Amino acid sequence: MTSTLKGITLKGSAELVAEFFSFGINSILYQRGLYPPETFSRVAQYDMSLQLTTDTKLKNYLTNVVSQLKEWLFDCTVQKLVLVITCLETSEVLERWQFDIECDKSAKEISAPREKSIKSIQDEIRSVIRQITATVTFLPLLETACAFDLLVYTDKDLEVPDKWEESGPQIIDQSEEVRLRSFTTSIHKVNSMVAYKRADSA
Amino acid sequence: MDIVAPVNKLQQPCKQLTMDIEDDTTVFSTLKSFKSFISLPDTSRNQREPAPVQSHVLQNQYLQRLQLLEAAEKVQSKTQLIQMDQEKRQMEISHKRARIELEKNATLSARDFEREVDRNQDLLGRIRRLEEREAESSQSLSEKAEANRALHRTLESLNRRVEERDGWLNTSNQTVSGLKDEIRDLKQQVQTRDNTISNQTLENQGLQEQVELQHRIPLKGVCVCVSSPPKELERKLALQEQDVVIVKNMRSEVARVPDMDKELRQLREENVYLRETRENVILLKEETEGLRRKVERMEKMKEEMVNVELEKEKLSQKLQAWENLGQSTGLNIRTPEDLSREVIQIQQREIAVKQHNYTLTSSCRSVERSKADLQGELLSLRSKSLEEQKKRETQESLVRRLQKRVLLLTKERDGMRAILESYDSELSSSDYTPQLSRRLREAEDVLTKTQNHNTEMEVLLTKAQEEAGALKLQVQTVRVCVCVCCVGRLKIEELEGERQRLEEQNNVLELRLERHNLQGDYNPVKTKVLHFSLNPTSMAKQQRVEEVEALRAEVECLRERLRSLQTGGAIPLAAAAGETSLSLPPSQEVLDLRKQMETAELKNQRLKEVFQRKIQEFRTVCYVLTGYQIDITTENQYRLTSVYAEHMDDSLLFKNTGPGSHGSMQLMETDFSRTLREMVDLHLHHQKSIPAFLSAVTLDLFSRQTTV
Repeated sequence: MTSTLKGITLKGSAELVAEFFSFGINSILYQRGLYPPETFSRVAQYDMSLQLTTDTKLKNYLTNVVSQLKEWLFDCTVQKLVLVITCLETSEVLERWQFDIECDKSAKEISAPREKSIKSIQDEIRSVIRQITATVTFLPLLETACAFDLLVYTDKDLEVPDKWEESGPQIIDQSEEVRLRSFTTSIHKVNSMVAYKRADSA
Repeated sequence: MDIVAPVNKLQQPCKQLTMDIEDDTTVFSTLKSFKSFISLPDTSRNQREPAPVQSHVLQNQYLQRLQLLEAAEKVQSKTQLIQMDQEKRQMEISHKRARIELEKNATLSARDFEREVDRNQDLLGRIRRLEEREAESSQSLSEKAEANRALHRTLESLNRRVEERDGWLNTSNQTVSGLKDEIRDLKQQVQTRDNTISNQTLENQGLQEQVELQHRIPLKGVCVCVSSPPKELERKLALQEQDVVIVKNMRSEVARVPDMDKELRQLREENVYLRETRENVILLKEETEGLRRKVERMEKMKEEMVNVELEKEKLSQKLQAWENLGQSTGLNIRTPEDLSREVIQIQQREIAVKQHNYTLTSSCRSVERSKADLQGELLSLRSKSLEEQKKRETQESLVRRLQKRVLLLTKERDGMRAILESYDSELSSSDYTPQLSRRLREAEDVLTKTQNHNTEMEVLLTKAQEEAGALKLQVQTVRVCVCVCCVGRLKIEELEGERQRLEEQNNVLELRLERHNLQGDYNPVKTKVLHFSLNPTSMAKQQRVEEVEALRAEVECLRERLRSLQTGGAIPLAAAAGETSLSLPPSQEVLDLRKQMETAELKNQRLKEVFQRKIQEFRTVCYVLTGYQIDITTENQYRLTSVYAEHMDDSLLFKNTGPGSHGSMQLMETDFSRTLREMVDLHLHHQKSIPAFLSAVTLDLFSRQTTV
């Protein structure tokens, strides 16, 4: 794992990024109120307290997705992870949290670990998650009942695993986009951005 | 284009040159022109009088170029201004949006705060009420405790009395039992004594008889026997006296028995009274138990009160902390509105700072852009200046050469002038030879000078020719180059324009690409989008669809029921009662109305029955008393049938002719009335009394009947 004092390997980087996604998605679900706040419990991670869901169905779903994502990160075949928030009544997409993943493929050939301290990666992740929490101040309120979905942009030639299927990109019509911070483990670079439907166009 | 214009103007003399290249006179014409330019007065050398049209044109062109540059700068500045305006408007819009959102947030937080305050006040009210209740309960508790204590005391006293009485009872019972035993014993004794007395009396009688017998028998032999029986008798007498004494004692003791009975009765009464008190005691004990339970409850309430007090303290502490916020933060906060106001102010300051930041960054960017533009301009201007410098240098060198030539020529002129003057001066003098030789020498000098000058001039000429040739070539090449340059510059400028356009397009496309990337677009050739099949959105949608279907079915069912209720009454309800669980129970109003209806109907029916009965009764009474059965045949027509009618059809018809039912009746003609003509005449026509007529008829019919 990444407890090697020397540096970050591809496997370790994949695990770090998958862990970030797990906590990041939970934070977004909590902040946007997609699930009732009493179904979340506090945990300490990245030197800050984050919210994790206790709903078993949701947990299972997230574990499935994140474990598959970890494999793809290790193969460097994933390009983006998108969290789409849809309004149930009108089936309109209201928000899109997009995480672009740039993988340094040379790490696949050269298995030597790279020098980057875990602390600096964690600091970067912490600032990203803090920014995600702060964006809630200017995002429009989700007043109707909503549900979320996780989309993964992968290479075209990737074999589709069991229980996964192809889907559309679910792009928002007339959106405002905001680019957020990014972090890098020196093997994977994750850029975050959020797109939301313009309030006056609704 | 400005650079091209003067070059074009230059082209014209160059063209002249090229056109007349075979004609050498043109070269000379230019040289002549130069000479004429030089031969102008010296004062005008310093003035850079604009040579013919070309430099004038150049200056105009330069001025025009400057003007065009200024215009271009103005246009640029205007476009910059427009851009700035647009940016400013966008910023304003985003600023308004942010403000609205922040206001919303502020109002939400203010509302939450108000709610919290209300809740706080509610809690305080509740606390006060609880405190009041607690005080009341404590008062009642104390009262009840006092009552309890008093009751305890009474209970104790009663208990003591009961115990005493019990003790007394016991002792009295014991005494009673003892006395009873004694009485029994005494009675037994009395009985035995009575028995003994009776025995003794019998014995006495026996003995008396014996005595009598013995009295009859000679007394002789009796003395002995008598002596012994008197002793026995004396003994018996003594015994009897003892017995009598005992009997007297017994009788006195027996006389005490009624007293004992009285005492017994009294004790029994006291017993009964004590039993009642014992029952009361039991009741009191129950009451005390009840009170004890109440006391326990009160104590529990006290504990609860303690907890409530603790909570109240905590809440008050919280309130104080909230109130102290103002003091701790150093701001003038006393109410939650102040806090929200402060928050709003801080947020506004933050917004202003952000705005400032954005303006600064945008101005910085614009400044950088302008700097880049200016640098480009600077480079171009520098190159232009270098070119100008080179031109100037060439011109200066030409000027210097020309100046040198001018000097030489002036010197020549002076020399020639001197010669001429000398010649003129020498015309007046006589001696020529030294002068001649001098002149010859001078002439030789001058000749050599001129020859030198000539050679120099030839050299210069050749040089000039060469230069001219070179110039021609240069001009040609320059023309070619200029053409090429013009073309090239045109091309360059076109290419530069295109490049700028392409750069802008590139930027726009990059922005668009970035935007699309932000929005989530992808290249379908290289990428595909996957998601988990059992994702929350699809599951939520399914649930929603199912809910909607269920709701629709319910709505349809309810609509049908409503329709049936609106059209029918109780019947569809009965039919609907056989439906599934979606049938509604009939509403309370309907049930009440139905009940009312039923009662009304019952009432109606009962009234009808009562009326019927009464009417029947009345009719029979009328029939019996008046002797006529009155039937209403049609409107206002009444048929009277007598009791004593001979035939069933014998009836009198009366009609009500008066207004309303005021009773002015008229007799109608029937078969029966024809038989009664006399009575009709008498009673109706003469006496004008219908009752008399009727009674006459009755009497008549009665008489007929009875006689028959």
